Amino acid sequence: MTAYFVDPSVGNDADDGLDNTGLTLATTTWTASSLTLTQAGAFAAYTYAAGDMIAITGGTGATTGLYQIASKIDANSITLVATTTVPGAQNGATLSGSDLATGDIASSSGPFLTIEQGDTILSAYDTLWMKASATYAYAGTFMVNWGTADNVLEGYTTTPGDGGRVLFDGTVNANTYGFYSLSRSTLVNVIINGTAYGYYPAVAGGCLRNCVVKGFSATGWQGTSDKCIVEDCEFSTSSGAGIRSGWGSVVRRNYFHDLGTGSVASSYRTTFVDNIFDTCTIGIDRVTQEQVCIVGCTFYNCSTAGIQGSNSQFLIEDNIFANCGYGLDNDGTSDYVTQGANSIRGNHWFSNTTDIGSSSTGSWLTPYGENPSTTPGNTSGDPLFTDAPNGDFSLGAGSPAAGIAFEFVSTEVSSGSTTYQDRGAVQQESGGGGLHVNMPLTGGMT
Amino acid sequence: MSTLYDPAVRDYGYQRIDNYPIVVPNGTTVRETNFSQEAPGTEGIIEGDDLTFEFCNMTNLVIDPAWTLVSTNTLQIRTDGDDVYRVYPDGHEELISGVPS
Repeated sequence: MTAYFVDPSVGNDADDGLDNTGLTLATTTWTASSLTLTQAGAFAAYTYAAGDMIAITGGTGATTGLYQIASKIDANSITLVATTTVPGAQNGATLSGSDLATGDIASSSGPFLTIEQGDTILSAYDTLWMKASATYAYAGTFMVNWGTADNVLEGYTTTPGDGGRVLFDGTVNANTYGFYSLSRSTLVNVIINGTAYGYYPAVAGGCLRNCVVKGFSATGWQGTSDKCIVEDCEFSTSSGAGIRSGWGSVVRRNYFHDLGTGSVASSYRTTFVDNIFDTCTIGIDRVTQEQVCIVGCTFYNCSTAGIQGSNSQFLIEDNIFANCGYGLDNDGTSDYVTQGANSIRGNHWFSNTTDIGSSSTGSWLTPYGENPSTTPGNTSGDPLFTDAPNGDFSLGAGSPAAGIAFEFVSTEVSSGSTTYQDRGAVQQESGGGGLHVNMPLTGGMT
Repeated sequence: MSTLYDPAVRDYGYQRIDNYPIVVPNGTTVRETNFSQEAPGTEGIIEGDDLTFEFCNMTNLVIDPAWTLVSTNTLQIRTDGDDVYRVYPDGHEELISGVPS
């Protein structure tokens, strides 16, 4: 599980990629008491910047690995951070005076220039840290065609782990695919702009986390394969579909807005939790497969429908449907009371043209022949979003959707009183729910 | 019929707008806005002079050479059911919706 680095500004594919400074030490002294590395003249041309790392790659008794640099003392010396929080880095204070011997110490030659070189060098379970020092743009049908299995590719701005996003701009070379992955891989802290497909995982198990995918022609995440996770991401600015979910995928805490379709639930057993679908033609479309779970989502201003589809064994609970055409539209011809096992209950409805209905000849009646929007447990009225036009779907004070969800936060044993979560994707800081979902609405290079 | 551009509106795609062109005031810089159309080579969607588009989506639009485009998607795509084809300037098409070989 080695950490590697890419820097599109100063990297070199001839480097070993093991840190982001490339100091290439050779005859260094380690002083444990002051956490100082000393080598005559080694740092004369080195300009310290926060987030600089050094990988000690050899030395008699050396604890090789990645360390964070705390400061540059002078042309001959640098200090290491005593206790670092950088993922994968070791603490300088854990080195003892005898760990590094003078005269035989070696360190990294610096970061790679390209992602492709990372794919060549990395092994399974390694991490590739991608610095936001410039826009990433590569020619070809695939902007990135990643083949190594089980890697994490994560962006950062200054210090690895700082959550900064890097921009992969498909408009520079008119790429068809942004990230294409032939293996299980996780992409974190990336903006993918202007391709036909943003991320196209070709095998099961891909993951997209804290990313922004926008300006795509067809689909932001083309999850044709199974068991993927898409979380804390934003999909926008397209007439296409934000994601196409594969079998058994989990889609949670994402923000879908200004889209033709938020998500095409093209396969069964997909779970949607705590997502916002804002100004989509359809929030979740083609729910034509069984066992789709949609819980705690907010559907707002979805002109055709919040959810459109037809099948059985759905779980649709604790969602808010507001200002939509249909909240829930059965666009098929079957009455799913006869298919059975749907659980559509406890949702919040406000200002939809039709809360639950059918644009065809089907219906969503309960096994008792009732309309699921009017059975006990539903709520209605203005949910009092804090600032919906600007994407803030937190619930204001007095919201009728607050503190009333089926899901509960806790039960006080002594009194027996139970605190329930809020309906919709964003929990109030206080009041009914007490939980809060951090939506990824800020950050990045653009 | 036409639609006056409003910076607060981010989606002028074909699924949402009935009345084209979108009339953009001369000299405007438009950011992160969708103008995508259903059919490749669609004309007459945007009207205005000295326009700049940054991080916009102009999928299937005919691009006015007078526009300044920054990080803006100008791909041409044809959809046939679940099949998606990329349409190149010479007219040939490539199926892109399946897993590429």
